[in-house]
Amino acid sequence: MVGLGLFKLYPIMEGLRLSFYDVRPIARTQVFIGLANFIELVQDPVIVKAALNTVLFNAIVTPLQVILALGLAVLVNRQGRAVRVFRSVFFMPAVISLVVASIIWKLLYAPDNGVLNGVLIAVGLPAQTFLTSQSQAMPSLIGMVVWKGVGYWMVILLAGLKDIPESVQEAAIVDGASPGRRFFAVTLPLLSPTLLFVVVADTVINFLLFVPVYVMTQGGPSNATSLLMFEVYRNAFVYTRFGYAAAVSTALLFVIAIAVSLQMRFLWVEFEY
Amino acid sequence: MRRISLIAAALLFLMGLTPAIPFGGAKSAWAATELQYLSVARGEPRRQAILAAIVDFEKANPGVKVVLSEIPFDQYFQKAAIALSSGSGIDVFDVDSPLVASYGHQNALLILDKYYARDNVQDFTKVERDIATYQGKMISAPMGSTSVGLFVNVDLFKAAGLKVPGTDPKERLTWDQVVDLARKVQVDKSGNKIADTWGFAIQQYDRPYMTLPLIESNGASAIAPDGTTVDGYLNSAAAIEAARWYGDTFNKFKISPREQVPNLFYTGKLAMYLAPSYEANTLKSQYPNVNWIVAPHPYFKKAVTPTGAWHVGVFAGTKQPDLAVALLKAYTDPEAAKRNYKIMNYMPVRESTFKAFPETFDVMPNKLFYWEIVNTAVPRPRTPAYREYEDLLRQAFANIRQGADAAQEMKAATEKINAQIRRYK
Repeated sequence: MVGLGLFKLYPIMEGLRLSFYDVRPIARTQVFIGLANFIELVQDPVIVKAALNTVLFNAIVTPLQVILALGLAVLVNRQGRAVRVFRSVFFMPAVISLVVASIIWKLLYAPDNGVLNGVLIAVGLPAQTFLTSQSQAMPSLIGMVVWKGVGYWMVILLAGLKDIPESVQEAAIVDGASPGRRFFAVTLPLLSPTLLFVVVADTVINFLLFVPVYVMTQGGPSNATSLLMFEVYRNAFVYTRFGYAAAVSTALLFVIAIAVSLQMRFLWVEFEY
Repeated sequence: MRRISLIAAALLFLMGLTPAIPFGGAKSAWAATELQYLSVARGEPRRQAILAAIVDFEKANPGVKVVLSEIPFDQYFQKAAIALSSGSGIDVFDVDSPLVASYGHQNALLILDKYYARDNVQDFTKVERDIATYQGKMISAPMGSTSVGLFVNVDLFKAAGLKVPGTDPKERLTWDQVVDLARKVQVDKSGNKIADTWGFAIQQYDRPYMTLPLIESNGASAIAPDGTTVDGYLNSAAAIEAARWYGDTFNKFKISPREQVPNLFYTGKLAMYLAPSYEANTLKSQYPNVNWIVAPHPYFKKAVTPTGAWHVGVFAGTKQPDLAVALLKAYTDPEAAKRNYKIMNYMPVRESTFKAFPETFDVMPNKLFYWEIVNTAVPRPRTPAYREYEDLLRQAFANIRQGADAAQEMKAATEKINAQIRRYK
């Protein structure tokens, strides 16, 4: 509990406190300014844009990752050497450092000398702008993040699938349930606690995503890929506006808390087996 | 029970990933005879130069030990800000030259005037003296500088049947001439409209260090003379015209790759490379097969070149100012500066260093770089909001590079930068 308080609760409370101050670290001053940071952030077009981007990003990435991870988990939930190979291949992106993966994808997406455009040109298709255009940057970022996360969530869902007693599935087969019916009426309800954990944890991670934005786009072009966490970083460590960054961080914490509460409220299913 | 566990797990997860902004910091172990030097890690030669200065200092000050902390460049500003915010644990630190005014505004740098004899100060080049001065007071000591030239691959020019640009400042190319040459020398062997050999590239292609001279060369200024606004400067017609030309090199003329490709010039895939003086050292030591010369930095209406690199300052809150200044001087005084040049090959900041090495500075390309430092160099704007200025202008140029409208971007950048400058009033 002491560790929890010292390393988790204290930083949160300190962040909350700083969000009410104008902090000038180099001048070593902190001036209490009440709600000024929060008023500024709702009027700041960059923060508003980043907030909208963050919501859009989560609305696409989280469902996509969870659905793909669930599909892959079901596919590899069987025995056999080939299945083990596929499991490893699907999981591989999860063991690559996020920084390294971001650099690799940035090179893949490079507009003039990138691998993807090389392939497109080789098959007679026009080169794409990817991360350098406002319309393609966010989808390109989403593609990379989905690729990176799916394997990880697949393994957790696979563990959940393994936890479902075979006797329950066998009973459904004896009752004449089709594979589709077994999945929706038996597997999915029994997987719901694991699924809920995956949805909640994935949401939190995606709300706090920073590295790919920092490495691949720096929030550009024209803030098209700027997410709130990147703005926290930019305000804290580029502009040394620690108080303002703390306010953005606090606002983000509340948004996440609301999102998670809603997920708990609507996705929670009581069950017994 | 299961539900409670799940909520607790989610809460822990949430808390574990919640960003906390560090501030305050713990006091470092402090000994009366210990000096803390926070340095940016910029390679082994620079480290050797600092260590040589520390050896001299410790010999002259028995019983005093210097603790050197090196931070990678990308993290340096953030770490320095955190260290300074704690109010202790730092005595001497490297200062990125455009940030001198920012540190000065926040009273983070000790005023050095009383420690410096007039001759010593006058020995610094004028442009470096100006950078080191904030509100009429010297607050940092220049350590190393840079200039920028147009590195030209001679073999690619000859292969294209083109005359190699001259190296004398009188033969300085205009930017229109550069575009013309780049189009002629560029090669697209595969015919896929993506060059195999590019015509032109800028090394730090969106940093104000390299982009501001474009707009200044076109007749605009980077900031008002009193540093209080960029309105009427960055959004002026001249600045927008230069910014539009910059975007055209990527999108209309298509002579530059839109994303930086490492080592293009080193591997003979780039004909003209606008790059800092230290690239000459890299080419000489690591790429002896590249046949290159350095032409003067091109221009629109008047010659303007980038300059500035690193200064060293003493933290205003140091408990041992005299010792800290002694360490600073052991690293930056005239004799140390000569030794630094021998070790690091940085462009000098002192006239005495230039004069001490005629075999280097009377021959190309250093003769050209020295000439540019004395005659055409313009430092980056001296404003307390330089970090913000740099980041916001960098974003604008990145957007322009990627096809955004130059006028719109420069106007938006002007508003954002002014909002940041106002915070420091």
